[in-house]
Amino acid sequence: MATTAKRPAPNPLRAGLRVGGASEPTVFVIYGASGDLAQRKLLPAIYNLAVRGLLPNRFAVIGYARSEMDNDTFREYARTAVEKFSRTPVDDHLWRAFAESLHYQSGNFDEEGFKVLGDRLEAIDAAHGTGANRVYYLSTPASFFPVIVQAMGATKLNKPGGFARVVIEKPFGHDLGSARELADVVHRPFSESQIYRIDHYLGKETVQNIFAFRFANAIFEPVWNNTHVDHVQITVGESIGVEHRAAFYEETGVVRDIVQNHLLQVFALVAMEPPASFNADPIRDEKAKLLRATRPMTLENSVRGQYGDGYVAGEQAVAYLDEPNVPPDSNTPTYIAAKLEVDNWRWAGTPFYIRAGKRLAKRVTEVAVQFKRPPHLPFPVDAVEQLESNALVLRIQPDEGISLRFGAKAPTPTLALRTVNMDFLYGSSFLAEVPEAYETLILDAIRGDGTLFTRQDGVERSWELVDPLLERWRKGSPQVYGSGSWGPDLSDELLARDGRRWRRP
Amino acid sequence: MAAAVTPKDETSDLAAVEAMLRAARGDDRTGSVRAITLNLIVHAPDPELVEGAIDALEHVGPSHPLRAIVATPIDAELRATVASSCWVGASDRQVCSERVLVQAGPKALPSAVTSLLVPDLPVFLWWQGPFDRSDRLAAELAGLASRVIVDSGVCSLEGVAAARLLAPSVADLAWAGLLPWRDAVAGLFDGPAEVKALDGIRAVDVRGPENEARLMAGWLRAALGADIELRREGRSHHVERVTMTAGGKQFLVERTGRGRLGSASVPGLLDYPVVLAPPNRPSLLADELSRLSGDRLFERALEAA
Repeated sequence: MATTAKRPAPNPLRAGLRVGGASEPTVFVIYGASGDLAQRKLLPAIYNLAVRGLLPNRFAVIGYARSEMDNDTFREYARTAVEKFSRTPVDDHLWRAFAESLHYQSGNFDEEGFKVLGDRLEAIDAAHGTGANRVYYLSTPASFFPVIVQAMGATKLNKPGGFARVVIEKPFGHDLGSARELADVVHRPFSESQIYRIDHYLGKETVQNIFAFRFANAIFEPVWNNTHVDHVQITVGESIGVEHRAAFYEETGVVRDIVQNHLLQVFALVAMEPPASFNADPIRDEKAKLLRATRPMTLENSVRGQYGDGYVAGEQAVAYLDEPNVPPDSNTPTYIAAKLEVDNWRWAGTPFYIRAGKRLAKRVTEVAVQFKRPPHLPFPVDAVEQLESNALVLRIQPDEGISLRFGAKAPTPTLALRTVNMDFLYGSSFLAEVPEAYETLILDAIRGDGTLFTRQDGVERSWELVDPLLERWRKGSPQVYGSGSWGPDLSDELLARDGRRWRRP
Repeated sequence: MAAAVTPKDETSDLAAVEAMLRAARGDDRTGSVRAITLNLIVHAPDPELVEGAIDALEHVGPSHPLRAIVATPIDAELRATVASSCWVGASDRQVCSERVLVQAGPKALPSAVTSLLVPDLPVFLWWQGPFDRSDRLAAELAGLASRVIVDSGVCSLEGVAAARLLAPSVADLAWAGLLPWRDAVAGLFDGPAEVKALDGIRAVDVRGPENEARLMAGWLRAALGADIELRREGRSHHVERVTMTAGGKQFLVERTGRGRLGSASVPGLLDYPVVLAPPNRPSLLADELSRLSGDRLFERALEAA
C-alpha cells in the first residue's frame, strides 16, 4: 500500500484567509479527457470554479486520452464544451487566462504512455510551480480503471513528490466480489485516504442540507427515533425512461443504477447517528455503522417492476420492452420498492420503505418521516376522521424544502380537525446560484476533503445489502406498471400488509 | 432573475408599518411562509446615500432576504416609507425583502429603528460616512447591532477602530475588497520553495489608497510576525500593485488592464494570471452579511496597520 508524501511547511499568509477555495498548487489530470463526462461535467465544472475564484492560483489541467490533439485543439475543444454545458456563460477575458492552464497529452493507458505523461507533468511543475501535487480523475469506462491504476503504479505517477489523489467514478464494481477486486487493484498503488469515490448525488447542495437540517436543529433530533417515528418513506422517482442508455441499463437495472449508491447514501444520511464532527472519517464511520446495522434486502420484502406504456405528464410513453436496443424478453427491473429494517437502538421496529423507478408520475426525490399518532385523541370520532398523523417531508428535488403536516381546527360550527401542510421552500430564503455537484466534489478533491466521498467499507456493505436480492432476481420477471403511475400494484401491497400506504409525492 | 417592487407607501405612524408591509406582500394571500433572515439598519444621512443604499439592497436581497431600515436623521417630523421587493429565480422560486425608509430627528431615530426591528433576528448596522465615537446616533445604532459594517476608505482606519469600541463585531468593506489581493499575494508563496522566502521579507511596496496599503502591510506584519516596512508607490483609487523582495528576488502582483485579471510574478516561474475583481460595494456588503462573528485576521491586521 502506498504512503502519502510528506507535507511541506504551511504558508502563514493562508491562515484565516476567507477564500473558501483551494490554495495548494495542483495539476488536475483527466484520463479520458475527450470523453462524454469530461465534456459535459468536468471541464464546465473546472471553468466555473475558476470563475468563482476557487481554484489554486497555480493550477493546471492536463487532459489525457488516446485521441490526437495538441494544446490549442484541446483548448478549443474545452471552450466548446464549456459554451455548451456550463451553467454560466463564457467570459472572454477570463477564458483567455483559464485556457493558459489547459494542456493535453495523447497516449494509451499503458506504461509507455504514462512515462511520457510523467515527463510532461514534471515540465509543467517546473514552469508553473505546481509543486508535484496531483489529482488524477479517471473519467473513463470502469473497465479501464484497473489498467490505469496499475500503469500509474508502475510509472510512479502515484508518488509524484507532492500529494497524489485519484478520483474514481461509479460503478465501484457490479457486486461485492467485483467491488473487492477493484479495491484490491486500486489499493496497490494508492492508500484508501488517497482514493476519492464520487457519487455525484452527495455533491448536491440539497443532499448536504440533510446534514444541516438534522444536526443544526435541536427540535427534530429528539423525535428522530422509533419512539416517535412510525416509519420513513424514501422516494427517488424519475419521469424519464432509459432514453438512449438501454445497453447500460440492461447491465445495471434500478438497483445498481440508483439503490446501491444514491438511495442508500440518502438513507444513511437520514438514519445515521450524529457524527462527532463534520469531517470525512467521523461521518463515514457513522454511515458505515448504520449500513452494518441494516438487514440485507430480501425477496419477501421487495417488489420489482418494469414500465409498460402509458402517459407521463400528458405525453405518451412507450414500454421499456419497446425502447430501442432493449431485448424483447428483458427482465431488467426499472422499479423497486423494498422494506429496510435497521437493527439498532434508534430504529429497531421502525421500517424504512424505499422506492425508485423510471417513468413514474413525476420526477421527485424526497424523504417522508411519518410520525406515530397521538396515544389518545380527546375528540369525537367524527371530528378526527380526516386527521392524518404528523409527517415531516424533506424534499431534495425539485423544489427543495421542508413540509410539515399537522392537525388544526377547521373553522366550522361543530368541532372538526383537518390536516394542513406548512411548506417551507429552501429557495424562499436563498436565491443564490447553486453550484453543480461536480464543482463541489472536484473542489473537495483538490482540497483533500473526503467528507462527501464514499469509503470502501461503505461501498462493500451496500453491496452486501443488495447482492442477495439481485441473486434472487435472476429468476422470474418484474411486474409491469403503467408509465406515469407510481409503480406496480404489488408495491402498495408491500405497505398494506404492514397497515401502511405510500404517500403521494 | 426578475425583480418586482411594490409601490411605495408613506406614513407618520410607525405602528402602521407592519400592516403596510403585509399589504405590500399581498396580505400573505398565497399562504407562503415569509422568510426573513436578518435586520439591516442603514445609516444614510443624505439623499445620495439613500439612493446608493437602495441600489445596494436590490443587489443583496436575492441572497439575503432581509428587513432594511434605512435611517436618515433630519430636522423634521418622523415619517416612514415602506416597500417590498421580490425576486423570482429558477423554478419560479421567490424571495422577498422589506425596506423601510425612516426619517426622524437624531434623538428620535434610534427608538424608531428599534420599533421596526424583526424580533429575534440578527441586526447589522451599515454605517455610511465618517464614524465618530462621540456621535450619539452612531453609538445608539451601533448598540442595537451585533455587527457594524463601515468603509475605511470613507471613515479611515481610525474610524474603524472607533467602531470596534462600540460593537461586538466590525467589518470593513475596504478590507473585504482586498481579499482577491491578499489571496494573490499569499499565492506567490504557496510553493514549498517560495514559502521559505517569506523569512526574508522586510518591506512591501503598495500602489493604492492609504487605508488599503496600511491594511495590506498590517496583514503581512500580523501574519509573518515581522516588522514589515510599508512603502507607498503612489496614489490610486484602488490597489494596483503589490511588490515584495526577498534575497534580491522580486515577488509581484499587479492589475493588468481594466478587467478582472491581473498577473503574478514569482522568480523562476512563468508569470501566471490571477483574478483581481475590482471592489463592488453591493457584493462586498452581501459577503459581510453572511457572517455574524468577528474576523480575527482583520482585527490583527488593523492593530498592526
